[in-house]
Amino acid sequence: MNLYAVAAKNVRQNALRSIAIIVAMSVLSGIIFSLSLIYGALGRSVELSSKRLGADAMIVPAEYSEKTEDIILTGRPGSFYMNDTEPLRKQLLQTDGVEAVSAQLFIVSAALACCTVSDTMLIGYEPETDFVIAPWIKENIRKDKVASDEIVVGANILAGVGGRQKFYGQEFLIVGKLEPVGMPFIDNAVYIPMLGARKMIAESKDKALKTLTIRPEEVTSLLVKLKNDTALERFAVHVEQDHPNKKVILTSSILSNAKKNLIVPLKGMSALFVLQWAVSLFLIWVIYKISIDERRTELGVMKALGANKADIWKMLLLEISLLSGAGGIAGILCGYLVVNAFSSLLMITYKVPLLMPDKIHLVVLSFAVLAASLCSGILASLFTALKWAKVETFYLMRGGQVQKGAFDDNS
Amino acid sequence: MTIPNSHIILNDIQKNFMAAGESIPALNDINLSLGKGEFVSITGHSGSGKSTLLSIVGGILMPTRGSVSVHGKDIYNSTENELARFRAEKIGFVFQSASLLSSLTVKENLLFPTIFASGRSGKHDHEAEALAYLDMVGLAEKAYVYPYQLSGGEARRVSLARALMNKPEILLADEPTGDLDEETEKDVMNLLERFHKESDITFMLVTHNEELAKRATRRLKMKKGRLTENT
Repeated sequence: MNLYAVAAKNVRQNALRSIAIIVAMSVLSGIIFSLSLIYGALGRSVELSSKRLGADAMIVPAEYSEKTEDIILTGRPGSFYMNDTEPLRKQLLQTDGVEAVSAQLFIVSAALACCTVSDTMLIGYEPETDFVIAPWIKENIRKDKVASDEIVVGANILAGVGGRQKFYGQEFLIVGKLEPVGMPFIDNAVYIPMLGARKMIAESKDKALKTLTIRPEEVTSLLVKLKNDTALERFAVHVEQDHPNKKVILTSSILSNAKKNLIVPLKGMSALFVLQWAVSLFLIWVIYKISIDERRTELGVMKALGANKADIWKMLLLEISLLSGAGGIAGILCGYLVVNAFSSLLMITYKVPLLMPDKIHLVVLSFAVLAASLCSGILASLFTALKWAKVETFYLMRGGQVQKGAFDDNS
Repeated sequence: MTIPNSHIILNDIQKNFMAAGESIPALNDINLSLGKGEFVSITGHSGSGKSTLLSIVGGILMPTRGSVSVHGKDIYNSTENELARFRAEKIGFVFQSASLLSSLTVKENLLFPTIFASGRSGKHDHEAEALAYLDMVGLAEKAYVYPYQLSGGEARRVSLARALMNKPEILLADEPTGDLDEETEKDVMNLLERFHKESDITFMLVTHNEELAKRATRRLKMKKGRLTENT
């Protein structure tokens, strides 16, 4: 028998109080955990997506700028083309501050063509000029140049490296698989060298059920990499003035706007959370106070049997720690399940990329939330535990109404 | 009332309580010395100060004035922790009500005081000891039930067994048969007497029942906060 066992028995004995505190604490920790998880997933995903998108700017037909943003943010495959890009490309390469220019071609995969969890976007890239996927290939596959039938796939594509995948009747060999970034546009994408993409388009008439009608000179966008000291906005204005039928999309703006889409409601939720936290602490304090007040005679008996102030204080804190811990764990589990269940909905509704943290971060976050739950529980019960721990045994045993100082004349 | 080599000495004890801004004396000039192993009964009307006196001797209520010495040491001239250890190791309480801890089983109630007595925790086989005490009070079969499942008399007997768990030097019983029927009252008193005879415990019994008080080897009477020998 020790104080831990006594605290555990007290928790079990007082089932209704225990359940009430566990529920209040699980709501509290569930909210902290969910909000932290979403904040973390958003930040991580935006950071990784930003790196993976690679380009500072995308130049697209002016009328498709909104669609481009939609494709990037939601991952819903879509395509559009422009055919007068060579003069623009040459002009861009001669512009001060431009480091590299490369074209991309978006092709929506035929329905059921690929084994992904959702629709697949085929992205044709130019290995010679590309600065988005080519450096990754060089670093991770150690190939200076991939063959025209070799592809790199996003994390959500079910087939792995070494597997073969057919698009529009053309078979490709998977030579690399990207790490997940939480952005469907990247995670569901298949990167095909432009030569292979053009071949696939040309042969689709004979090999595929659906013929692709993209002309050889057509591309979807021009990706631009700017030198570090170049002002993005000024560059965009300059290009749009010279080419009114084109729109410059700054990738950093897409991601920061996307982040804002979710940050605004999250901030509102955080404000509500502070209120919820205060209410929960108050509820826990009231429940705890009532239950301890009812047990003051027992606390007196414990002291008469030899428990000192610290023992009583320790036992009461152990009780609230057990309850807060149980509530914290329940809240973390519920928060995790809820965020996982609704992350896709959040991504679609708020057009944001979300990438759940890896296991280590998840464990660290769980422990942090558990610690916050324990601290909140202890904080809520501190006053009551301190109050009754210091009342003299004689008065505790008489129900605590007569307190030292008020009725005890030791003058 | 001083006995040579006294076990307990109460010297000039005064206890006042405040009520409606007025200082009300509950105990006045109490001087008492008890020899080791003495069985003392204290009788008196309700409010005469019997329980207050017992609480002061037991280290759970500080007197307004005066000192309580056990083995020559003033118990209130010590830290809160020392006083708690004194209660755990030297005192066995049997309270007015059974005062069992409701979340613990009967056996666990007996084990509870062992948490606080130094030298009583650790490898010592308290469980066997608790079961032996329960057997002694005739409640071995109730070891694993909760206090709410006991009758008043059973609860009182458990309380008595718990008071003995740390092998105290002083047993303080405050109306231990207060709300019991005659038959059960007799059982509990027989047990108390038996424990006293079998050990070297100094035993203070507070009761309003003159018949029970007569069983003591020394009888004291409280009246309006003053203590007198009842011969």
